[in-house]
Amino acid sequence: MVSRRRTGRIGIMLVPVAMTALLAGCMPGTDAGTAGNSVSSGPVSTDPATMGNITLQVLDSFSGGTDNAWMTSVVSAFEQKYPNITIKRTSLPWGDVMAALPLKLKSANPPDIVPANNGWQSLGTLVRGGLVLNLDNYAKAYGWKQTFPQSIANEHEFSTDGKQMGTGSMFGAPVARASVIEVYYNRALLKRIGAGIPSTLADFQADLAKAKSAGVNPISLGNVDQGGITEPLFSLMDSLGSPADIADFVYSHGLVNIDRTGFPKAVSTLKQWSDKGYLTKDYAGVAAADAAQDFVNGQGLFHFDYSGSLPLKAGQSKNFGSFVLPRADGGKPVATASSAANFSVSAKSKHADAAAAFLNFAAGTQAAELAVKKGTMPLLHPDVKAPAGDPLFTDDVAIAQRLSVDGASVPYLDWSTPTLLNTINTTMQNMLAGKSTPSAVVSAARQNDAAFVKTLAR
Amino acid sequence: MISTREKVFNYAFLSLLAAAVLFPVAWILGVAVSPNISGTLDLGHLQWSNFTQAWQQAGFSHYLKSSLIITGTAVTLSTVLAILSGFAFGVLGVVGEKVLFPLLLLGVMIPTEAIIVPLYYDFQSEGLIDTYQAIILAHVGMGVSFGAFWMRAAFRAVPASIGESAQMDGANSWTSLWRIYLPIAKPAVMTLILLSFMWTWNDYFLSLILVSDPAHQPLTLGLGAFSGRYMVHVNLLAAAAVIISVPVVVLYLFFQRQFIRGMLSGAVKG
Amino acid sequence: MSTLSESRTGKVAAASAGAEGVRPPLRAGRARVSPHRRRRRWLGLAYLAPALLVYAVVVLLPAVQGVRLSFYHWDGVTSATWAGFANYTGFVHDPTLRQAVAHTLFFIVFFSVLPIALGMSSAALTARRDVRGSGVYRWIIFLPQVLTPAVAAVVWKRIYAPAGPINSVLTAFGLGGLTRGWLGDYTWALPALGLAGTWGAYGLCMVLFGAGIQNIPSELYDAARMDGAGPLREFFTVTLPGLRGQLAVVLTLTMLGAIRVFDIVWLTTRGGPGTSTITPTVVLYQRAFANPDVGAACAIGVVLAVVSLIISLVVVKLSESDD
Repeated sequence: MVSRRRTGRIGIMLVPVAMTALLAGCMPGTDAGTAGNSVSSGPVSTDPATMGNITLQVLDSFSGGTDNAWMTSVVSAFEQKYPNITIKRTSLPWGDVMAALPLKLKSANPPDIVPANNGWQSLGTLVRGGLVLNLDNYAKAYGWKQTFPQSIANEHEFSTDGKQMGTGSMFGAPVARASVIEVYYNRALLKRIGAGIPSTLADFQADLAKAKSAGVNPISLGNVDQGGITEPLFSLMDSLGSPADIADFVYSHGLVNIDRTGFPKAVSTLKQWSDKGYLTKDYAGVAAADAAQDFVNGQGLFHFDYSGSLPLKAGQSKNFGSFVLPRADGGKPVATASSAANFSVSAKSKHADAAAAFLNFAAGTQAAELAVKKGTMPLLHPDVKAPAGDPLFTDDVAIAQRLSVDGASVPYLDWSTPTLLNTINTTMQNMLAGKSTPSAVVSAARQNDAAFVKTLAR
Repeated sequence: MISTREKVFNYAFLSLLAAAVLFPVAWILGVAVSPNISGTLDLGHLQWSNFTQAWQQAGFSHYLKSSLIITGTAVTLSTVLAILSGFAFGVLGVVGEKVLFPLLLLGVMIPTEAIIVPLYYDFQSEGLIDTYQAIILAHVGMGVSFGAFWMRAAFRAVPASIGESAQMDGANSWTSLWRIYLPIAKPAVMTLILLSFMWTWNDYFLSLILVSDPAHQPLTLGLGAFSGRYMVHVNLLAAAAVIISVPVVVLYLFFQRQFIRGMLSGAVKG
Repeated sequence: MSTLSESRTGKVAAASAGAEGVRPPLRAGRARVSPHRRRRRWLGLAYLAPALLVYAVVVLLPAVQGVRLSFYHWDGVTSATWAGFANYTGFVHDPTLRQAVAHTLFFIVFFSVLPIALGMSSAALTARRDVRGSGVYRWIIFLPQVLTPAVAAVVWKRIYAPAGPINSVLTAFGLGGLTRGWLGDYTWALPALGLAGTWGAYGLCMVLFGAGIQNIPSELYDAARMDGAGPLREFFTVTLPGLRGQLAVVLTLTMLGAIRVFDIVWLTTRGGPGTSTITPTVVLYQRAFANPDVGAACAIGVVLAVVSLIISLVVVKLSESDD
């Protein structure tokens, strides 16, 4: 009988709920204005000194370590040069920035400069929503398209209707710092197994075999939290596929089939490595961060990771070196690389001129020099030199130089759809555990891409 | 009546269960004082400095500040609201009670997950994300239902004669709440404070979504960041985990009865 | 612990469910209300107002918006478009979501059935006997309930790691062949996380049942003994019926915990390997924030809320229907 009373009450409850539903109106932000992404016709100013007293709000994801050290030094150098401009930074962890960005840009008072990630996960969606400024006028005024390597500049371009990536107008700009997927190696272990730095993929795989038979863990890798897989996978793809095809696949949607990118072969090669025991034992149960730590602790010959992400203590970097995974055909190595951040300007910014001036400064020579001074990989300025005494960093700077000179970089594969990263991470785990085949990974990626292309056309 | 054999069995059985439950806790405590960074137990060389090191490396000082601000304010506000609404429902009666009380109770059955997404967008559009106000407001709002329910039961248990005599003495509702009812309901308030302290202090999900600025994040998120970041020193991680758990466990040590009674309130009969 | 982490909600559901049943009907027929009483009730509304306001802003309004949003496709940036029931049919069509639901059923075994069985049997074995130091045992066994869920997750992640204590113990006993990275293993990851849930919920069950058994009049046991009932029959004829109320509460609490598992999965496997430990709340989080499909996330939230309501109501109904 008690229950009857309760159900009766539930009935009564529904009345006010229904009433509130009628009154509640809609959710803030579900209506977006039409995107106006064309370039403004007015003149732009490129001399910050004449802009009067301005405060720029900058959101960035350089929240710790050398990231933060570099950004802080760039900001203070800029403020010193242009005392009339004050920069107010807010720094958040990367994942949080990505989650919060759309709403921050829609708010009444958005930051002037935001670190939207390249690709469809973030920047592409923002362009479609008309939330970031078309920077073509500034690109022209500052000569960005001439000074930036084309492969890097492309990474910040979208068509004004927001349906094409890697072409059209610049909706963001790179900074003079790189983020590259590279291979770290342990100098002592490489010597112990009697191997040298590989110059082809075959050499590299020979090193893996040598390490294995010498009882050395060939590749330190951990995958329990779904991390750690795209680094070797994209490296292999860059080694096996043609850079032009990879870029075309990421940018042009559907015109290039993923089969042509080296992706299928990369997937099956990684599976072979796993089968041959080239990866950390029980890697499926090891956290990615633990694998990096294990590598630094000497438990692994190689480790695939982003530049500057080894958990090194002072004095440890002399034990390690880095290179880009060599190409299968022995050609110039190609790396998955981009600027460490894409900085875009809010469409609502009242200080677009000043914001663009800061973007230009953050991509300039001084910013690159500050990068090497703070021990982080420079970009766009191949002439800056690494300070002596840190062999690992010397390797890193050499890689960055080649990127800027040769333009031998490709965009991140996962930029091509908002959900491809998730698809790759889960299907790769399935495949590596023997629950599915490499071709299942490839077809899942293909389907993911096709589905997204369909929504783009809408 | 009870044979020795039975007694021995009882102790053995309970000890086995207690050991099983305690194993993860004991292990993490052991690792927290071991010198080995890869998390191997080494109780021969206790390293107490792990705690101070973890504290510094994880930057716990400012996370602690956030945790204290969030928990302190949220618990205070929740308790006051619970007392007021419990008094309203339990003693004064409320216009539209038949609708309002079930409506409030509905809140206990709506999981956080069902409202967190719109709440996030609402707060975002009000510019509240990343502020203490937002996370405190969320904690308080989600605690209203339990608080009202709990204090209503507590005030109802106060004999009507006491309230009536207060009324005869000319006490208005405000004074009789604070002077007469509250002192009697003090144990219930105590339990409520302990429970909301625990829920707020232990929260991860709400903070994960509503607070992305590390400057305003509580300790639980600090631990998440520490465990996924850069250098992985398992012993320091364990030490950090221990540090976070200490306040609630200590309270639980002293107020075991209140905790258990509160959390089992349904069975112990309101 | 983790299972019942945000159990503030679940808790009261059960609490109200259980308590409503026991309390005598209150001031039932209030036919005519005196002017004085009416004034008092307006005063009551004033006392209630602040709580009601906060509740409306934080719980009611978002709940309604959630229902509304669940009928739209929205990426958080561009204009939302009408979706009809498309976000709900995902529960049927979307393999990830279907898997998440299957895992929830699996988790119910570990987070609810297992702790209840363990808790009830151990309570039945020990509760009626005078055990000195039972307070200490109770303190220990209930401890996981008050431990910070984020901490528990970090602890379990380490325990199941390839270099963790479980594998060390196995190796020490010469069972090195059984060692593995438990959370990276397709067969073991889900039960491994489930066991962590059992660990968390067991204490709640045992303590609750223990308290319940204390309240069963000992005459009933004496009578059963007189009838020559063995311990097993005693359990089924006296103990189990006497615990019906507690069972309802525990069932509600633990099941609500099981359908909302988040912290321990998110902080250990993020739903992997593959999608073998994914849960509806993890999918909700991913869709809401990682790759915005806000409508789909809201639909999951709405379904969780409805299922929670149904569970609470059904359990209450079942536990009281044959009174």
